[in-house]
Amino acid sequence: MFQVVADGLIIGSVISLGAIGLSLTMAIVRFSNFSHGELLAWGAYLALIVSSLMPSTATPIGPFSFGWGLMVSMFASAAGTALLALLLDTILFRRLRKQGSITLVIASFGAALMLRNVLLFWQGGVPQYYSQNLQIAMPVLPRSFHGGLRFTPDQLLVLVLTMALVTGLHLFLRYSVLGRSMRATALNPALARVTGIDPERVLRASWMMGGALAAVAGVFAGITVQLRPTMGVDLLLPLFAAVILGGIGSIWGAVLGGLLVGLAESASVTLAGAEYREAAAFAVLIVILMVRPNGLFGEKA
Amino acid sequence: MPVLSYASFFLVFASIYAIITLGLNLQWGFTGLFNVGVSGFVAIGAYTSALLTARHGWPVAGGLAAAALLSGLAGLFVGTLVLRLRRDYLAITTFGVAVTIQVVANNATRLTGGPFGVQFIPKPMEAWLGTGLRWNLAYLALVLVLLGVIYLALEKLVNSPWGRVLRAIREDEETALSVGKRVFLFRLQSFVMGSMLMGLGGALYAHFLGFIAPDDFLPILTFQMWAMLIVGGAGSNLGALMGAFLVWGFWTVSGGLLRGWIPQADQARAAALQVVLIGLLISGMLVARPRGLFKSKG
Amino acid sequence: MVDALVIEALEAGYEPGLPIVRGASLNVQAGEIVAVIGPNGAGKSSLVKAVAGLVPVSAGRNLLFGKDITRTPAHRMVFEGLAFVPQTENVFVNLSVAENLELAAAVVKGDAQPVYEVFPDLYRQRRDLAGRLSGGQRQMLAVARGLIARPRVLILDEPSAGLSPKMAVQVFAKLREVRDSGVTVLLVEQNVKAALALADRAAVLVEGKERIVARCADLLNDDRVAELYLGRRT
Repeated sequence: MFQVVADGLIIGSVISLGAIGLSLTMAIVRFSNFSHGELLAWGAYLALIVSSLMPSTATPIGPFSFGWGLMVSMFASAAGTALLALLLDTILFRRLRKQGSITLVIASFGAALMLRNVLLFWQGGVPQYYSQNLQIAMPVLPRSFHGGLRFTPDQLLVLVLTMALVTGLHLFLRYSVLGRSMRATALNPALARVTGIDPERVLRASWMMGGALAAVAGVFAGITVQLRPTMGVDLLLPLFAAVILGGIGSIWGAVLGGLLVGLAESASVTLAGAEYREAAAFAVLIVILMVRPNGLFGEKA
Repeated sequence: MPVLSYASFFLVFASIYAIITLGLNLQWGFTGLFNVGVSGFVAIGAYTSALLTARHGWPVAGGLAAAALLSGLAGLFVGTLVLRLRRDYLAITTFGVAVTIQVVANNATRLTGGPFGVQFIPKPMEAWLGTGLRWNLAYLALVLVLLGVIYLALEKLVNSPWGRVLRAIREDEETALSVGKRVFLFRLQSFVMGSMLMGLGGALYAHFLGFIAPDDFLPILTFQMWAMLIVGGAGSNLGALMGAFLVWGFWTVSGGLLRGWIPQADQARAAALQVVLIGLLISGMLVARPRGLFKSKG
Repeated sequence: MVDALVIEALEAGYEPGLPIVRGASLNVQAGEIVAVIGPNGAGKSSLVKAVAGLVPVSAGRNLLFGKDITRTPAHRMVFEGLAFVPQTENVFVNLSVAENLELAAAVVKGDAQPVYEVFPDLYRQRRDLAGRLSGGQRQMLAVARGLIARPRVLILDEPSAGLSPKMAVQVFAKLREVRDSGVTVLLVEQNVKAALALADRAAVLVEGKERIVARCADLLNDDRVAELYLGRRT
């Protein structure tokens, strides 16, 4: 049982980071961005490309499966993906903003298909990995105790880094001027404007933050599972479920939602088999829509 | 006569897609509802009819009806759940439907045949006409008749009082809301009817090919239907119909060309490139001619 | 002495071809309180929103102490010296009183402290969630937020809307204080009597254009005002 929870937390970490960015754009830019999953995929692959340019840094650090090269690449990828998100807005979403949220959703669907297929075309369909080094799971609790609990070092790192990132993000949104401006814009765009908050600046910031977080999530997914060109679309439903569960615009909601969806997926693997993972996210979505469509911490109806 | 055979194949598919696109047009063009999971509703119809006819001996007509009914019920479920909520929630939920249907179709092997799908789906009129060109043409005639009936029915519907209310809702929701609870009901009715058409299309597809598998109902199908609607012009039944034929033509031609240029081993990449091209086409249309090629009825 | 605010033949509206404000003109002198009154649908709200940059302007211009602000985006207005207090949703309900004011201060690199001195009640309630305040207190917060940027001109859209008469009196008293401290005030008001009692001059807006602009003392006895409200031709 503990293992199910632990695995759920790992899956959930990836989903949480992606969901935060998605929740921000849904609250500030005000549409459901179906290309957000592709930002995770591109983030993961960009890190792969960059790290392959520095083969000497691939030597694993300590017990982890990857070397410094990957960590550096992750930062580079975060920057690159942030720019990619901004680029998407500039050439596509910005022009369609006047046409309403549904047009933006349609456009994002189209952008997602293009991004995914460019990736497929470029990288091929075979799964890839950051490192060929195998990881040995470290037992934390023995198997005799309710099935035991084991973590690989990579998984622990992902968990710790996710918590650190989320905490940092919370502090940023709570105390920095830009962060508070973003929250204000999500709450009440017109009032934010007359208060002196530049809506374009907030928009750019939310795209870039969303892109950067997605890239990190993608790298984490690549570390803990694998890289596939379809990894973006495979995560899309869990991402949306997490955002809606947590409530649009709420960072902690997205985090909690992500963890809960991760747990649901992990539980479904145990109960119904690994093939039904994606159906678990759908089940979570249906339940929250039936019970509490605003989500747990929804800031805006 | 390979040309005639090829043409009949092309036209049957185009007509089936036209029926599906008409359903999508009802949901989106006339009611402003964004269904991202078209492939899911099509799959429900296809599998329903396939299983009922192949495994339980139902007549094809019964299968078609059941297909439309079950897809309609799925539409009812989804619609009741999300049509009163934020606009994009419908997109997310229908997306979820498509994903979940795929997962179930692929894995509930005893029910759906898993990745191999359902084979030996009965073809209507097979007893009289056998297989081959004559049957293809007869099936084409059947589908065209259905398409014609559906088209005329839809035209009548959108020009009826019901259709006018629908248009009012789409144009000016605030005023329409004074009509009260009924806005939701109108939207729901439209969504359910559109879903039924998608299910019917799926069933027609199943009975034409004689076998279906989960891979026949991937998101690419949803994408194709949307491309047809966007190019033809949402809000116009004629546009939906013409869009289906045009885009299907473009799709088969580009597919053929790409297969010629790109070596066999890279077919997956060729398919990816094809999608990118169509994606560019759609994005271009959205930015340059958002109304599509055929004007809507205002 | 240049006027605080000059609105010249302004045409504005949400839809390009359908202006709600149709050629309205108004001069507001520095240090005075001007009220915009008129029947429902006259475009009073749209007029002030157009000045504040929230409604698109299709013709005419707005001058703030001589500077053309017609095309200035809404979020730059506070930096030009013009603050706007909307009628509804005029505070961030999920933030505390302090967070509301401190955010406004941070954005303009100002300070919330001077405003607390003008609104001691708000200081006492600074930890309360804005959404939990009463209507009157919320309105005070909205006005206070507008003053953070030390504007030269403060524009308010129906500040007494939804308030009890007692609270409305308090809000208006506060506005008088604000004017006395040197801020020019332009407000839209539905309550004619209260508006005329508060303001120095008033403009009656009908169908997007001003019909009478005069001193309130004179308007109190003017039959034309009643006629314009009741729709009879003047």
